[in-house]
Amino acid sequence: MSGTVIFFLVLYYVVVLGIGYWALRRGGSEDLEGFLLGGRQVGPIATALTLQSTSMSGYMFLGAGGLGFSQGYWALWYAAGDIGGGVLSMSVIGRRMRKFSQMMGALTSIEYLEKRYPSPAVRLVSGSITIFLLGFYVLAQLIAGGKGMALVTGISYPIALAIAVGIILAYTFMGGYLAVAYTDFFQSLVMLVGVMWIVIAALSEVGGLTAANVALSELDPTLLSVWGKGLGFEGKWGIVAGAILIFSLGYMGWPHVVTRHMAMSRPGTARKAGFWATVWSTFFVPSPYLVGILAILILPGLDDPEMAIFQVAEQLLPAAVTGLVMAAIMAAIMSTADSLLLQTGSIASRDIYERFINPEASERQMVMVSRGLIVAIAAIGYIVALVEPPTVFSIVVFATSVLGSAFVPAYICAVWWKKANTAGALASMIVGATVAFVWEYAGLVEPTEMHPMFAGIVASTITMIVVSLATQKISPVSAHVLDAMDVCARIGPIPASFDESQFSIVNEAAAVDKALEEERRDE
Amino acid sequence: MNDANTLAVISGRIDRNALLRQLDGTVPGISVVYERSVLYPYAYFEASCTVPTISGEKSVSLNGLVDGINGHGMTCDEFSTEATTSSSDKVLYSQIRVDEALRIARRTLTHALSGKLKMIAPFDVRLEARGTVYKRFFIVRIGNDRLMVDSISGHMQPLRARPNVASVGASVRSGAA
Repeated sequence: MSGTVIFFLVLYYVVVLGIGYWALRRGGSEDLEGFLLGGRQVGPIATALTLQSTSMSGYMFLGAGGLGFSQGYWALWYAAGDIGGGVLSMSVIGRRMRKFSQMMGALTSIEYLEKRYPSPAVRLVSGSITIFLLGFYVLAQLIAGGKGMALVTGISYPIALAIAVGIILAYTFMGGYLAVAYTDFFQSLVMLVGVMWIVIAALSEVGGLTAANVALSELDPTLLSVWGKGLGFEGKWGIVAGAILIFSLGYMGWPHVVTRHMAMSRPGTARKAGFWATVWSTFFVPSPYLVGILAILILPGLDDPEMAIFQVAEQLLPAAVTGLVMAAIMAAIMSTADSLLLQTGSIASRDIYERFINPEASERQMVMVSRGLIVAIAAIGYIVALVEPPTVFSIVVFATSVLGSAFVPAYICAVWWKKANTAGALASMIVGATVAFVWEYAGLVEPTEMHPMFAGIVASTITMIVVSLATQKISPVSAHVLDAMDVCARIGPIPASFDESQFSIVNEAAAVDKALEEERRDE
Repeated sequence: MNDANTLAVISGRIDRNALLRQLDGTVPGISVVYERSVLYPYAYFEASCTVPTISGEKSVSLNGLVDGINGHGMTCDEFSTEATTSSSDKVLYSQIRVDEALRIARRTLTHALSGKLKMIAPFDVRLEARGTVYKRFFIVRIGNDRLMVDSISGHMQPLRARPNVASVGASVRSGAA
């Protein structure tokens, strides 16, 4: 890595930190207070870009490129699901989940599940599954950060990994760049422009897409096939379905994603942000896969397929641009890891420690629990990433498969199916997580020709339906929950022009409704 | 009702007559009728905390409200109040204890700080209870349905309770309030 690259990488961070410093100095405490309050939100474009940059993790820059390099065009099955994942999630559960969580006063995704399916067991099971799998997800970010850092700085992987882990921990304990609100938007733009630049440079290098396809065909015609290299997945629709489902339906199982539904300011913003997120994804999501495919021609001797994007950038882009783009990629990895750790710490402290171990816990004690768990995850992650690092792709796909299989039916039925009850949800979560986990580790993918995500989601959905129907009498859905679901489903009779504002006073309306009913009965 | 008590009501921004004029005609052939207003209780807290930033620690002041009926916490912008002794408004009274409201407010503000700043830190939130404030909601009838309108934000929500024929008789026609 040249000195120019490192210079521009450092320059990038100085600029980003400068933006944060300038914004805080300029706006001071009043500006910060405005950011912290609910009334002043950023617009839909900024919201979309900020969310996308945070959710696009190390997977996109290592796993996606690596898959494209290893399997050719088959990798685009994953991209297809990923492009539609955000919109699907927003459409299926977005509006109703936002409204329901507000009505129930749920702050975390686990709390939301417990309010809908009232039982301490729901919180314990869902909290434990989430903490375990988010730990895996963090591991992927640590490996991605370590590999990226090693390439950028030229230092050895163990030391680079230690530095990456240290920065990610500092990032979490000190709050991103300590001015995260002002820098996420800038980073997302640099990321998008940078990745598009790599795609264009790679296409230019191989003489365009048609020339690339001809060259790939001469190298190995199966690389152009939708069935993977050597037609390894030919006719295996269970695996193809899983590849599509993993980032479309599976997206709805990520706690850090569904939490965003709960935090949306209003559905109108969500709709517009969803549109911009789709535009962004349409350009961004296929790009890393495509760069991986083109890297087969550009870097035929590449040892580690997951380094395809970094290596292509280094080889084709001007040193200054490489520095900026790599800095943005590293920032995105850090930002995702930070969000995951924050979510894990929050679930551990609020949903497990405060709820089951120490109900009188002070905020300081909860911070200690959160930080303790985060340090433990980082330490375990460091050891695993050092001793026997799995690929970023395999970790992310595994974690998403199990999370999706465990939670997607529970989240969807929570707002769409009134017969979904506590017993059904609990059984669905346990069965879904177990099936996806066992499918992966018992080697059932090859003999059954079925992806763990596909097997898991089918199992958890059937379980939810069967158990809920079978236990309606012994585990009925409470009237309170049914009422809330009715309110969530109701749109009219407000004219369409007022539609987007209707969600903010739903709790007050429910209480007024009750008071008016009582008044009428008294009369 | 609360004829004798003086209540602190958050100053509204929505004019009742303007609201009725705006609503009237939005659904062709259906009349819009003003029924009454409701005063809704919130426990009000002023909070201060210290937030580490890139340019050093900053003291931040926030306002927190806790829904007096449902117990849901929220942050809010600054607002002014007016003393009201109303006999025509329906007043809902708080059902949440102060210590419970304090716990909810602290949890809500800490969660908001942690989520917005993406950090896990003891923010040392200091809260001062400022009593109960009330927000006025207008209830209007559109055809056979009722609509509740926030007097500050203009947010609307349909009510499930059907209009009481007797009470509607005392209501005011659009534009004639």
